[in-house]
Amino acid sequence: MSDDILAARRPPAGNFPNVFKALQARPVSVISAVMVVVMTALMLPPLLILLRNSLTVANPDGSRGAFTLENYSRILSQPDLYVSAWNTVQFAGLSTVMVLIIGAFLAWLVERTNAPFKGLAYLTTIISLGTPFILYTAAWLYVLGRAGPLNDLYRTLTGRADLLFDVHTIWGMALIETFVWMPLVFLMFSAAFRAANAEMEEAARMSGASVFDMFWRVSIPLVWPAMAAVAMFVFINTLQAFDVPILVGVPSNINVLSSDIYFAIREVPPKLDHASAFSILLILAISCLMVWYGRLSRNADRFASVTGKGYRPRPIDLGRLRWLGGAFILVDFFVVLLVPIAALIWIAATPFMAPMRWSNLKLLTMKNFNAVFEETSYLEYASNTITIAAVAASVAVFLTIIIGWLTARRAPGSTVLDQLSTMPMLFPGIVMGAAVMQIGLQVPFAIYGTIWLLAFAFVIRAVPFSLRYTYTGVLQIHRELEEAAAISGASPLQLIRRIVVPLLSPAIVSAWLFVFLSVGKELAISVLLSGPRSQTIAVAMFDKATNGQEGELAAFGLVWAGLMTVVAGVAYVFIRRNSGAAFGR
Amino acid sequence: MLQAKLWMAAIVAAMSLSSVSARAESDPALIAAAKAEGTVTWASGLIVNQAVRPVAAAFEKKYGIHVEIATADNLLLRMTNEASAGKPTIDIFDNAGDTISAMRAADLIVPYASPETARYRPEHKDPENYWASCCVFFYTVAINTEMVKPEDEPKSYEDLLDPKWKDKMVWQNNENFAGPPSFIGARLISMGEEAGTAYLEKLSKQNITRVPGNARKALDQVILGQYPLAITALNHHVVISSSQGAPVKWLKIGPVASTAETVGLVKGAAHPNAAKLLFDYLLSAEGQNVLREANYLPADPNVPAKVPELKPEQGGFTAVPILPSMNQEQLPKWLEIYKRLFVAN
Repeated sequence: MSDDILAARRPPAGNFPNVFKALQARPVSVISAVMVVVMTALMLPPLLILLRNSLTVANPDGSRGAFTLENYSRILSQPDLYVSAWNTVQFAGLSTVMVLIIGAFLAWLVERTNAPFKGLAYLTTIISLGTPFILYTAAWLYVLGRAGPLNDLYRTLTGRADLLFDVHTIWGMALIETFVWMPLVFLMFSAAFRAANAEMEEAARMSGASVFDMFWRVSIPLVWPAMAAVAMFVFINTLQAFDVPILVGVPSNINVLSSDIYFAIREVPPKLDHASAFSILLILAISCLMVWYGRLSRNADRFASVTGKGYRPRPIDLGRLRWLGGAFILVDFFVVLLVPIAALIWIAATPFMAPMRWSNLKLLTMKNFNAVFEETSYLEYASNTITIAAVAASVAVFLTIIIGWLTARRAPGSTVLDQLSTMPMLFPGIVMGAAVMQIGLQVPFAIYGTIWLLAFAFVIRAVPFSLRYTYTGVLQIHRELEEAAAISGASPLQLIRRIVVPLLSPAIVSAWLFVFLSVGKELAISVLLSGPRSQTIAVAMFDKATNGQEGELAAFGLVWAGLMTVVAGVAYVFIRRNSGAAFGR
Repeated sequence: MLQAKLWMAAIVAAMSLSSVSARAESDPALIAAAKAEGTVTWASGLIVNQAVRPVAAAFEKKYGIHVEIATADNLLLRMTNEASAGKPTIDIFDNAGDTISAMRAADLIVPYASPETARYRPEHKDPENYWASCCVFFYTVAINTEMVKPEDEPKSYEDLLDPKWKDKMVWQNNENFAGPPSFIGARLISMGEEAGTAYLEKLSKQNITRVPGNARKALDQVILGQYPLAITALNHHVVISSSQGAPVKWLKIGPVASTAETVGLVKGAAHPNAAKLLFDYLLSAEGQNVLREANYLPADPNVPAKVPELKPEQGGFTAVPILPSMNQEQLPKWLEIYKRLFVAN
């Protein structure tokens, strides 16, 4: 449909080669075709390797043997399948609902209202995105654990011996998973709220709606596409997540569907085939979900509020509620950032895992931090990691601007593009890493062991995440702007560059930041693909984690999170300053 | 060119060997060939900044051969994939897990008769010379001394069956020899199949909490006071923490399960001679002393641990060696017992 509009005005044909002729005739189809080719080249090899691995017997020497369905039957015949399935649904459902409500409300407060302390919300997001996942979970388990400060305080105050809060429950799992996903959800919603036209909210206020009514009836419906996208996204990711459920659930014997994957991966040699089969089953299940989701966003034009009419969003005056909003942001800052960071600082500054008590203050030492700063090779690791993260973020964001636009505009081939781009989300990190390793070893050029193979893996990894930002961003931009540009003779590429990209800049900034910060955290892929000369920060972290140097790991993670925060902060300011013009800020 | 280099190297090597020592020494021809290769890639499961870099630095200083340090995560996955693509990047590796036996089963390592292994205990070297151990580990019972009074300390494995320990014990949820399976193995070997199985059945009623992660994670739960007793803690971890003031102590309840960090040489490696030389160096008295300084327990019977009582010889406790070969033969059975008795309930 958009193709017809965009092709309506064709420049006069000249003596161009065929490709250019085609580009002139049906420009969107050509771009779409090019992107399908690019994405197929990126995504199909890992998928095929995954399929092959899940369907063949692994020989001890690394080669593949006969056809088998054993990997699938093992998953479907695991004991208590229904119990695990029910646990999974509860865990994924609870986490999704909690993170959506809190994340959306927080983003709205920050982007739309005059609540104070907005900067803290961004600080919280950036630092917690930069904090390695294993540390974050460890910090939470420490805080909420049996001997953690929370239960300790409760016992001291009440003189009882029981627990106030048992973290090793479905609720504990969901709570920690909520904290883990908060930054992504906040960033996604803040991009959506920043771009959405504020006129309707202003109209609601003028017509006498209360702030609450306006939030539920105007603000939330306006970002409905973002809401649906985020909900889908978080739900799918928690379905396949196994780290939090294992770390939190195992001590209480709570199993989820993916628990089995974790153990299969930890076997020596890791049973990746089993994990691959699980991914394939998930891909099948989620394809169905995607169809439903596609139907949902079919009428997405209704939500486009960035139109040709000029507007300049004004923050909504919350009145006396302003301080309540500020308090909410403060609580977020306190709970999502301060508490885990304080726990990490404590772990890093004590020579062994000591309970957080006054009497233990005498233990405090800088030993673990000194060990981090004495190690000069970390500089090389850091520069490798930052290079990989910047390259992966830039490439992934570039690809997904085009894909996001094509899918939001339902260009020919967009369903395929969407499916291709979503797939890597369902590959557990190590399964992806192993697939990319096999690709790297088999291609005729020497990419194996270099940082470029890592960057390649992270582009694949980042596409689904980045796409959620750009896709929902494009949905908000009304077609009329593009139609106007097309009628004035702009080619689709010009249109993307001159209209879409500037209007999309909040989403682009969020996507880039998210990918950049995530790369440093993803251990499994990095560690598997790092050669002796392409070692990353993850390698050092892995070394400390497996060798039980909890204190040094925490110190290292804090220093790293600090560095990433600075780098991301600079990038953020830079990108916003250079793109701010589009939004009059 | 290479010839000339080899000759030069041989002369240098011969000169450095002018003083004949009583200790085992690497073959001069090997040293020369290793120097001609100039570099070696080593993937080690030991702590990089405390053990691997000091060993690498000492080796580089001694022989002038550069050591590239590769990460040891998912070593087997990496090495098997590299092997099947015909591009091995790692020359020598060490690992506390079952990598060595899996590599042996896949025929991806080569034997090497190191002159250093002669004095090593039989359980720390392969009769066919495919591997040797550079450090040893002992999985012992550890308690939180603030939570367990001296008179309540268990004195034997039978004592762990006391109702007072129900719901109070932890171990790491590792489904390999770095976790409960080696404890299970040690009981079956030391008590005999029948008595061992009966003991384990009783122990399973104690409801031991599984901690996801490694031995250190489980021990940290005890140090932190979440649980009073860990069943399979590494005794050198306990000593590292207690020397810094942690309220924790390991108990000499024998026989304990003992595993080892095993070293192997990769088949088709790019630097086979430098790898052999590093193999020798790791097992030499010099290399063993570097590992000892990093708080590891040297496998060399002549090199005591930093805290001597951590090793059975000086500590006066007994150990059951859990050998790499047991991965194929016994692990599946022990794992089945673990899952049936301690996971499923």
